[in-house]
Amino acid sequence: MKLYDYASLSFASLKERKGRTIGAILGVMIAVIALSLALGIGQAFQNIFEERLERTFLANSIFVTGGKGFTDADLAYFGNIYGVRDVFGVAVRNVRIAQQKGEVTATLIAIDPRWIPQFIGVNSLQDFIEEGTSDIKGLGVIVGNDLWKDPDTGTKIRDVGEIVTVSVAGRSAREITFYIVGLGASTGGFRGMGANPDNSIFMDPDAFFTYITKRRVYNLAVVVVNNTEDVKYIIDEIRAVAPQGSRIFSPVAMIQQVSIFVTSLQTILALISSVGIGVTALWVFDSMTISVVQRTKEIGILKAIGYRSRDILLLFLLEAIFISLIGSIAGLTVSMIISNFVGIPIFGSMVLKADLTPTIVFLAVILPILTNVFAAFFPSRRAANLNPVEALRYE
Amino acid sequence: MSDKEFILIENVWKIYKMDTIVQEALKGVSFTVKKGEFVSIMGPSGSGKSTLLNIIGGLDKPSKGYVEVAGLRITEVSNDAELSRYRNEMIGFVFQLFYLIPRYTALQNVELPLIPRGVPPSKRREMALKALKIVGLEGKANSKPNQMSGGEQQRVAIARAIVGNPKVILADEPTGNLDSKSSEVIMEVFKKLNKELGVTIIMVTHNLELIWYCDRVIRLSDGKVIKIYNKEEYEELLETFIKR
Ligand SMILES: Nc1ncnc2c1ncn2[C@@H]1O[C@H](COP(=O)(O)OP(=O)(O)OP(=O)(O)O)[C@@H](O)[C@H]1O
Ligand SMILES: [Mg+2]
Repeated sequence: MKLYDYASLSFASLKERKGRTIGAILGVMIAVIALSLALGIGQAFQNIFEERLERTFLANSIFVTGGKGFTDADLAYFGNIYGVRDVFGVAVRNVRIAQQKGEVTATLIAIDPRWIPQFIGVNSLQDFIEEGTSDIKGLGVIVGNDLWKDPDTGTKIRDVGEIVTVSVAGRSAREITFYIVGLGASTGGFRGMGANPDNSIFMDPDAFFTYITKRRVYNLAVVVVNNTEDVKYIIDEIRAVAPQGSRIFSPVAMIQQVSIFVTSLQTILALISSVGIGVTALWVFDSMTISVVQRTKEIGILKAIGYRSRDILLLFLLEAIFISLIGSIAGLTVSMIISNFVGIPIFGSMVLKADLTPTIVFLAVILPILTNVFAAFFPSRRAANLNPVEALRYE
Repeated sequence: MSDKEFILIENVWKIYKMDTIVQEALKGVSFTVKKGEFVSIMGPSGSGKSTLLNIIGGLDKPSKGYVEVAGLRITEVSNDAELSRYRNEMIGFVFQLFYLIPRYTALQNVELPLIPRGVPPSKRREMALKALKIVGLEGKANSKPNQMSGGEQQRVAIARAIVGNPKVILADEPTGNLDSKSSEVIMEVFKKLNKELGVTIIMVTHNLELIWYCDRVIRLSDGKVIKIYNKEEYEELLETFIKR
């Protein structure tokens, strides 16, 4: 095949100029590593927000915290705001539990079971209850995954029907014994308002306000809206009626802000790495220009023995293609190794690893080729259009 | 086209214009070359010999007049592909300074003209080895140009010129850089190509000793043909030079 022959001619000429060739390949490599990692990390961020946060932080919820807490009257105010579908209160206490391996802290969450999916971000209660029921009347509780399963070995340390004793600290310190009606499935940790469902005990609010505290005050009010587009307006309305010192937190707004941040970060990183590709292209342009001058006589010879202008154009462009291809494959290999072994820890438990999607791989290969072929085109065309007599006469 | 007018050069002019200076390199050159003929072009430096050869070989265009080779009016062809094909298939160039490509071996250099033709590698190798054998260098196939003597390099260049079975060899002072012994070897190769393969050869030379290999000598001076000498007139030609 003719193309193969031209490729081997180009390759031979690249090999002859090892220094410059390796320099250019390294340039492409570094640019490709920077570009693919920048895009890959951006992609990984995006994945986390799309797959985890958006699902778990419930886009249609607005969380209101702080102040002295919320009474049923406060909740009723929130419920009257136009566009609000539901409002529920959640009361939370830190407790300690004696486990086999010693005492651990857990979160006692008082919540009507029908709101649990909305609160922790699962589709239905069935998705959350791994064993037993969600029927948490009285002192019946659902125990989070990490509390009934040994986090290290995965063996069952508590079961439905057993009792669990927790100690509540604070002003009204006491010990309370619950009985387990349900075991929670693993939710993957960190959720919503700082509570980790896997490390929580879910109990009936009525029982909570009987046995834990007498004051019917919720630490957290969750406002569920009909339409996420109304979130901004509803936040303003909540602010108007909420008690002094309340903090309003909306996943939608947060996700939007983080997305904007991530997208701009990705764009900036991609732009910076594109500068690398641009610099490499300049290098290729420069190196090709020198090469054409140095090889003027050779071009004259090739023309004299019957090489067409387009053959010579191809020979030179192939050099740029080789440099780009070798550089981007080597760069991608390094990127893949880096993305597999190096992670950026975020949110404590999560590790961000560059996600080299097929699109990114494609871009990292095609972009240097396109820019370098573009850069090489002008010197190559000059080579192709050289007058053979003058080229042969060139010293 | 008849074999008698295999190469037809008709009133060829080449005028270089640089700013105000006008340089007339060829001023109405006309002659014909028969098929299978071995002619030599002689003349002082700057008389237009190389220019003429380049025009015949399709590397350069005349300002006026035309050249026909095997019935093709090559000076009128402007299409790059057609012109390249002509250079590739009809013509074999041999230059004074060999013009081999240093990074390739003798064999690879000889194979070069076959690549744009699309000859497959094994066939290419076979043809190149055959050409090297014709010039007596089959043993040096894998040597690089810098590992060979000038005479050997020129023979590799001749192998490259003939590998594609051209009808015409255009040699511009092929022995200009060689000692008399190497020159003789080169001339014997040309003679063989001419006699055995019937290749038409036009050779530019300064060396009077070499004219005996040629059927005719075309004397060029100041861009014009002064006289064309047959073999019988060679003594006369030699005398004019000795007189000087
Ligand atoms: N590109 C050019 N521009 C201007 N003048 C040129 C050019 N090429 C050749 N000439 C002139 O044309 C004339 C003929 O040149 P040519 O190279 O054909 O001579 P030659 O007979 O081959 O000489 P030599 O024996 O030295 O090789 C010379 O006067 C030369 O200076
Ligand atoms: Mg000359």
